Amino acid sequence: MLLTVTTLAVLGVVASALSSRMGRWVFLLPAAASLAAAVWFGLQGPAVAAGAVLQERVEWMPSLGIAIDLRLGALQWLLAMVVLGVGGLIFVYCAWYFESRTLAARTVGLLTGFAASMLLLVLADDLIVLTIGWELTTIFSYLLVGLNHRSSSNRRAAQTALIVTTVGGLTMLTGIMLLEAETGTFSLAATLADPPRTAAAAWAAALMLVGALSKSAIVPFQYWLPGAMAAPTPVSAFLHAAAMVKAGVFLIAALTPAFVELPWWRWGLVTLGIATMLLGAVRAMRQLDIKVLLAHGTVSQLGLLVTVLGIGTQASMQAGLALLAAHAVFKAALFMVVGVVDRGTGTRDLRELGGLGRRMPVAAGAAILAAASMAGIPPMIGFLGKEAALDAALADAQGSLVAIGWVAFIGIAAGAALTVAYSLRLIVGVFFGRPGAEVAKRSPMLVAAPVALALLGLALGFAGDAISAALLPHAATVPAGEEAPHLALWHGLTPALGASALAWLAGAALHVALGGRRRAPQGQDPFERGYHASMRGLDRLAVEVTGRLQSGSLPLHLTTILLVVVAGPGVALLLAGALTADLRAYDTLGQVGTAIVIVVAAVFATTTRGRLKAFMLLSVVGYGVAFMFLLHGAPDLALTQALSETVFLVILVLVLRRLPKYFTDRPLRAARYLRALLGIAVGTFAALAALAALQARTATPSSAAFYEWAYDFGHGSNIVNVTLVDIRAWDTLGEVSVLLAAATGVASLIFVRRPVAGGSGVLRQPSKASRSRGFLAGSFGDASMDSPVLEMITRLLFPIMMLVSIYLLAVGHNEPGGGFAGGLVAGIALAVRYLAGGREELTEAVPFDAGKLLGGGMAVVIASVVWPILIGGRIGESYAIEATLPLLGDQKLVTTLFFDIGVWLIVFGAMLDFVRSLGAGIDLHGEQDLAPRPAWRSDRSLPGREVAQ
Amino acid sequence: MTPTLILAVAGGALTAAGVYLLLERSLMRILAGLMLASNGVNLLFLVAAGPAGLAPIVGQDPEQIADPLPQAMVLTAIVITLAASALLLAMSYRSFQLEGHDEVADDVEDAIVRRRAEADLSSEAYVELTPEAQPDTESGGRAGDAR
Repeated sequence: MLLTVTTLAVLGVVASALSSRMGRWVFLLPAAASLAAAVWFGLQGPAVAAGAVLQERVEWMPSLGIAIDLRLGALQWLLAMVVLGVGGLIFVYCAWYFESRTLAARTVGLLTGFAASMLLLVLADDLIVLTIGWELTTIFSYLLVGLNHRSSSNRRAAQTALIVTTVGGLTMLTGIMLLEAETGTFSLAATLADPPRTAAAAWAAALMLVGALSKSAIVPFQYWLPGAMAAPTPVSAFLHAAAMVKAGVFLIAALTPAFVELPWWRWGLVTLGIATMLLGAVRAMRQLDIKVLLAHGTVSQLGLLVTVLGIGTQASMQAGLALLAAHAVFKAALFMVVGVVDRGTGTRDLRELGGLGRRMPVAAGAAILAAASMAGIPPMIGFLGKEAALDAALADAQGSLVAIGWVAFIGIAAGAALTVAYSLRLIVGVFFGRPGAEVAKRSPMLVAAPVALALLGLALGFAGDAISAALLPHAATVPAGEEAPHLALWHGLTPALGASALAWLAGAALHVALGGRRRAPQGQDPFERGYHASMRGLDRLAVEVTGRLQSGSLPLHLTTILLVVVAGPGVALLLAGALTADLRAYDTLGQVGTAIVIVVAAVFATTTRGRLKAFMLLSVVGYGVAFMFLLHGAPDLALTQALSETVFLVILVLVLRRLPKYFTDRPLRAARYLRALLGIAVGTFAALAALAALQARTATPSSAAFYEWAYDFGHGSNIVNVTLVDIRAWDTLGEVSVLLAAATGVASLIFVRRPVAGGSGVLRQPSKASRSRGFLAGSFGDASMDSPVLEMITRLLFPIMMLVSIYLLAVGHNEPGGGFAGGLVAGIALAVRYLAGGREELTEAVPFDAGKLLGGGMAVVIASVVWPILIGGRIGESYAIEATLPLLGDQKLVTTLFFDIGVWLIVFGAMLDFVRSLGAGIDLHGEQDLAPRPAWRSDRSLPGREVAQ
Repeated sequence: MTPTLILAVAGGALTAAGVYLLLERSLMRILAGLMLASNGVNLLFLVAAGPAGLAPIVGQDPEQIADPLPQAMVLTAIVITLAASALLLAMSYRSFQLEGHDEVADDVEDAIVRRRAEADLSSEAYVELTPEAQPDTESGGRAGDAR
């Protein structure tokens, strides 16, 4: 069973890929798979009918009690046969229906995926897995309805279907959670074996029922189904007639044995079922588009199924399931005939159709047989089901459930009459009467599938005993009513037969009375209007709320957020009493001195108007914080902080040379005290939160074991570095991704729309062939500001700095250092080289694209995390390789070194991007008069001339 | 455990100064605010990490080393702050290049939404349902194929 589900799922992907080569014939792949699986399931029939239950189980999330648990009982067998048998024929039909390659390509994958998820839905015993299949069918339905996404009404129809069924699905999930809380299991079989009788369980049943009703288009959710007819006709036949809409009916049938005795169960289902049945049938009689007519007919039939199941006895269960099978067979056939008519004549409008019986005799025959089944005329399977339903209703009316039985009996009979009327409207309107639209030639294979289904409906009409036997194991689980009598064409002169005969006459009379009226259909029903009104209300509410809260002012947004931080968690912090006076003033005296320096520098940085001055003060803060790290016992942090502060200072100066001397000063003076107040409040809250975090600590720090792990698993001595590259490698992976994105962002901001940059960020090689110069030859005369001495010294320094950088990388695992620090040192080396020699010097130092470094680094990082699974290890596991080398003695190579190398590459690439963009890129802007020019002693500058494309 | 007051004071002060600058409209000042606040929060990490100690390197006394996990977190934070700062710097430069200043203007889209709210209109994405608009049921037929 699991094999079938996975085969279909895989086939969905494969078929999509193959469709460009095979065209529409690709549909024969899932058709063959479905039909083969249907044969296998069919062979299990006798065993299932004898009461056997097939099970397959794969553990999935044992800690949550969730398993992929498939169970094939009688009910599941019936649904699986519908999905695979009817579905297989629809796939065959598709191969001749679709003409265009693109539409076929998109449809085949989605339709096959749908078949897989529908099968998972009906076979799943685990309610969570069932929900997954359920939601997957919803999504496939959405995608298939919106297949022609260029039409706004199609998109709207798809959205309506999605929203209605998803709301139902989520409600059902809530019910399932509630049920699990009562029973302690997600297993449907276990729940049915020992159904809970609590009030909470009743609520759970009600919530799950809401999901079922929305999926099966029962009032008040019925309006999504006619809209879903925007999908191609085979899709409508499969999803919106045979299979998906049966999911809700399936769930009701599955839950009935457990919850049928709830006081509202029978009345609720019967009332809603009859309302749906009559509403759908009346609306079906008004339609002019025959496909939409069938859609409303489907709504009506689903109402009938729910009514019959809602009676809640053994006989009604048998009748309901027989009707379910009958409906799948005849409605799919009818939809496919509609597709044949559509393909042949190019229209589905009753006003243009007529007299097709002579020109399409085979299709007409199939349609008449199927419609006879729908109208409940012997000897079709539909007649069998309807008789049994009427019988079941009456059997109860004579028992303990008098009222409900009679209501159901009359409702079903009335629905049957209306069904006869709209069946006649369809058949007479299309196949008889005055000839209408012309018929084009089409492949005879197109009618094969509907003919097969129509004949199947006829054959099943004579197989009453076999059907009863197959359905018995499930029907017998219903705890009410007598054992169901076998389905048969002839029961003698019973009240049910009388009601049927009356329904035929009344339906025919109704059809004659209406005279096949050709009025255009009327608008929406109240439920649909309610849905659209609520969607509009939601949209209006969103606009109002956004308009009020989203002012568009950045300072105001930040203020709102920070005020909430102070008012919410801040007040909670004070009220919780987590703070105590248990404080240590300082660890070392050095901390006090440093703290004074950085606080003073920070305060002055906030008040100064000079741009450079402010950032110099910020540097003081930065280096001060680095010293604080050192005093705290964090040499890695101190090293990284000092290096990154240096890098930032360099790139800052590179930018500042083009910016005005003073900050732009906005007239925010009145607000500055308020801002200061908010700043102090947030700062105080942050400090108190940090204090409370430590004071309130009761658990052992999660890093307590890192000391042992670092050496035992990480094979390194520097615990911080082992944490970065091994224990918490995923964090680092995310972080270097941020670095990569930021570096690319900087480059794009500078090189935006610049034809100067060859490729992605490589500056064009300078025309003066500087590459041919000697190692220590300066670039004399390149620019007046160059300093040959500085340039030569940096050329000497560059290899040394790179060596330091690689040294830091290499020792990082055991001593302070690592990929980050190493990469930053390399970045500083680049910056120095650029400062001394200009952009040509930079190109010479690194004659390739920064993007290659970044991408290569990322590849190394990911590969070094993932590779252990190739040798059967876990992702991120590290290994130590020890070897004795000729000159170096005993050496140990830890595999996480490669991770660090990747980090180094990314940091180095980012630095290269920074220097190249903010240094060389801005130089180029300056030469081409694109850079901003600071106005003298002003806070503004003149914008650079925008470059023409 | 007993936290160190001086670190909390310094961290809080840097955060406060940073927030003050973050509430400005000039991108360069926002950048300064971001750097100050990041430094402040990094210091507060040290507070929450526990007392100062020896460098967390195997071989030192395990009882006396500083907690390594917050250090690893702060290390990544430092590098990310550098990257974010560089990006803001480039944005500020670009703004000067285009506008001659680097002030963050109010969002235009938000103003449009506000006007729609005042006029009691639905959002731009919402399409009003017209009774004539029947769903196109032809998508599987030729109409869909023709495209």
